Amino acid sequence: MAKISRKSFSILTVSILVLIIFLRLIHLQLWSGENYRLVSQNNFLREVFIPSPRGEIRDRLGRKIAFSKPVINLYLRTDTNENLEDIKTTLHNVLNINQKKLDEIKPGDFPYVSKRILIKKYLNLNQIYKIENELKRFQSLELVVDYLRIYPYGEVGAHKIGYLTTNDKRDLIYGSFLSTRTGVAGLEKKFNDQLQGKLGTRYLLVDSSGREVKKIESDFKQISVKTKKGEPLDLTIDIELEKLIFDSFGDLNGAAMVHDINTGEVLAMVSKPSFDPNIFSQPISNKDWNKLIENKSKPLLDRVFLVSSPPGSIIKIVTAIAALEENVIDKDTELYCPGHIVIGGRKFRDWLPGGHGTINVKQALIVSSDVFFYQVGLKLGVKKFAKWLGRFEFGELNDLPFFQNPGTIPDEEFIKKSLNGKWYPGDMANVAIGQGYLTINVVQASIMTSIIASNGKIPKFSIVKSGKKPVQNKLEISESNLQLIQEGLLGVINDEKGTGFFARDDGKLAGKTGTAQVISKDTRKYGHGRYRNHGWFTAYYPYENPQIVISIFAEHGSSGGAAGGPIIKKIVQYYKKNYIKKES
Amino acid sequence: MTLAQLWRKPEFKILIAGCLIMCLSFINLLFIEEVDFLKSYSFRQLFWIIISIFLMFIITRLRLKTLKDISVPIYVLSLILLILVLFIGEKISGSRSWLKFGDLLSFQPSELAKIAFIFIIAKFYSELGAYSKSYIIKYFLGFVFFIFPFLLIVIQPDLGSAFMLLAISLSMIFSFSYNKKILISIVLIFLIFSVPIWNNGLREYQKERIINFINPDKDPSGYGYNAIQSKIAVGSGKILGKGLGKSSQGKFRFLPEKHTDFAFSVWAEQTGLLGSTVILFLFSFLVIYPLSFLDKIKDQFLQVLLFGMCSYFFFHFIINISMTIGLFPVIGIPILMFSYGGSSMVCAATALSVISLIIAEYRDVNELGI
Repeated sequence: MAKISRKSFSILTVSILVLIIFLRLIHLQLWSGENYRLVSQNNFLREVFIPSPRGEIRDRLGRKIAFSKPVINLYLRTDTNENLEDIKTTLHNVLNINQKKLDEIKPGDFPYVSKRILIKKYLNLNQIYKIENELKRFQSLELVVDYLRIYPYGEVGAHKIGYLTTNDKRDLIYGSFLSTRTGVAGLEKKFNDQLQGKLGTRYLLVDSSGREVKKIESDFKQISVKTKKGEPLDLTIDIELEKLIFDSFGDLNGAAMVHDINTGEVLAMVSKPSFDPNIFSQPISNKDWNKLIENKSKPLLDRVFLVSSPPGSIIKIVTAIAALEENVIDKDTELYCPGHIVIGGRKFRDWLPGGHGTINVKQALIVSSDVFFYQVGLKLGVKKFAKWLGRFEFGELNDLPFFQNPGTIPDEEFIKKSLNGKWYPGDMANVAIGQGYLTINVVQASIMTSIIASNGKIPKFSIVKSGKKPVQNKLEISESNLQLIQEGLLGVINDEKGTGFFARDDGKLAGKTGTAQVISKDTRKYGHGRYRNHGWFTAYYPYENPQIVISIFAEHGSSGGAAGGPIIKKIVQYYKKNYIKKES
Repeated sequence: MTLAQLWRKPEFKILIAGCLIMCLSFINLLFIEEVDFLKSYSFRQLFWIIISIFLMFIITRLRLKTLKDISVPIYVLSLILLILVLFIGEKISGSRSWLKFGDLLSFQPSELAKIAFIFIIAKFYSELGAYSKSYIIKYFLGFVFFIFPFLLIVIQPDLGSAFMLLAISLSMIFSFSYNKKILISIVLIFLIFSVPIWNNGLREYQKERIINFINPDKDPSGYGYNAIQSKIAVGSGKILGKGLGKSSQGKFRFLPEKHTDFAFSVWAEQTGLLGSTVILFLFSFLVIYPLSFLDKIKDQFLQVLLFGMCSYFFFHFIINISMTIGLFPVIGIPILMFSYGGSSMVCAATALSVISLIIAEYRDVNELGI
């Protein structure tokens, strides 16, 4: 201590060390203060989650289409300071948990992050009894009641009901619960806010050993969230009818819709092939998912709304109405119908090689003459035809809450955009019988039939029960013309020459069959194998005072009559048994 | 004399700063407890504060010569108590450090030993006469007076107090007999012996503590736990603190020893950077202000004594705070007067009074020439 005095040296040393302390305090309290504040809150506030069940989805008679089943899962929290090895040993001994699985569990970053790990799901009573004693020993173990979504009818109507998926954003915050899964398709998605319950959150004050401190301060009550059950959703669907339709399709794929003419309530909506929505109620394995999306028959595709195909002969209803209303023909106009007709140098064939002779419009509908409607279509012209297609709501979206493919109609816009404004007589002849540049889905077929059956009322569909009777707009069509078409449709099923004889039952069914040609893009061959024609069948019942409309689309079903007829017959029989009898 | 006049006197500044720290300590303890006041630590601390103020009142009335006269008796007494505590001491969490008198009173001889060591060194360094320039004699004396209390404390075992005694001794011995070669040789010897000491001399938990000081996040629920929880407490206070009585780290037992070793942590949690700076300032004042008189004091005994007392305050507060903010291993050292504890409070009050007495009367001593 020669040069610098003892006093100066001491004071300097003390000052430097105090300064270091001060800087460190600034670092901790000012710079990282916010982080440490958060950590200190996690330290003594423990979040406890109380899952709540998702609301039931029920059919018109209250039968459960989807419900939440309570399950009990065992979780391990890694944010306590209990000995993890002891817990692992206990789990292995008591519940026989796979040692390999246990080895994967690593201590959490205590006390920074609150984590919970699902140890075992769906414990049965015996297992609950066994683990209950251990719960008192270990604060880290938690039994949580959760809810598993069950769809008892499985594949039936699955596209419409939809399914669930993980809610990533919530899961990050709360950890994964089955009951916080969210609707990702169909009604489960559309009505998710109504169906989904609220995950309750309660805050417990805990001390360093993870034990609850009894006194709960009001601050923490304010931030807790009360659990709330999801609300049920009541549908207009008749699930047993859907099941019947689904089963009646047999090996066929396609779509079907049944609705109530007076109320617009949808009774059934079926798409086949389908999938089991239950597999989405818990995290789906890659294997299952790949199986679904790699399946060539596309089971996830909703054929009711998303598959739009040429309507075939069922469109002749619109062609006939348009021609009658536009005074291109009247009910007595007779046209000669041989086996084919030449338009623009090309031969246009009738489905019946010999032709139908000289027939009027009603007879043409019954036998589904192509040559008759080629000629009517040419007389009508595309503008008027497109106008009437629009009035029947083809090419448009309807009110039902599903993704829809509205299809295309040959209106001015379409011709301009897709065909460069070129429209040939041959094109007109084609669309007049439902081929070519005209595509519809099964719902649109039902709208058309509903308008005819209800003397012009445009149906306003509903699928969720509301109790209100909808106001239906009316399409201006003369009664005599409607009557004529209705008689024609009755003949399709019941006349000797009618194409819909497969559905013939009690003489009160009216309808129209259709066959849409499927043309291979490569070979331009059609009608066989993978390129078998699509069958259409749309009908209403009963003829007097109509109640329901049924439409069937049979993918590669060959012909509408053969494929759809038997299904329609079964639907009508079901309807008579379950609805007509009860009401009378 | 008015308060303003009192404040102008250097010796009172020191006492007032000390009393302020004691008051803050009482407030701090008062707000981290939720038990009946009469059974609380804060009540007992209040009792010790009153005793300490009474003691300060008496000591500051002593004559300086008396301090020199009681040096040897105090040192002998501290050794007797240190030996006694090994036989009749209360065993608390593995250490025999406490002499109990009834249910309420207990005394920690190691606290007295630190003060006693400072007295004895001051006395003998000032009476070397012709040998006052001899480093060897000073080192030898320092070592002799140090080693007995040190070993007796290590046997208890009380690592914190032993370390504190070592720090005070080294600072005093080297301040008053500085020799570069000897300092370097001591450091070398320490390095050479540290490996065998590490392997044989330290207990498993002591090794764990040192390892965990270097990396506290390695085993957060084990020995590093306290260090992390203390840092969380201090940091979460932010600038203005969570408010008095809102120390969640303390209340919910995340911080052990919140009354003693981690009193500063809960204070910093409740009052933030603002409150911790106040404590930091008061202690710095308590050390730096008396040191500023060091060169003016001509008497060797008073100089060494003053330096030793400052060193005594300094090491306690700097190491305790460093410990709570992760700059030093957690070794169980209280922060004098601010932590709960009767023995340390009484000893600190004694040291404070001695400092005050020296600052007040060193001029007279020069004239008297003792």
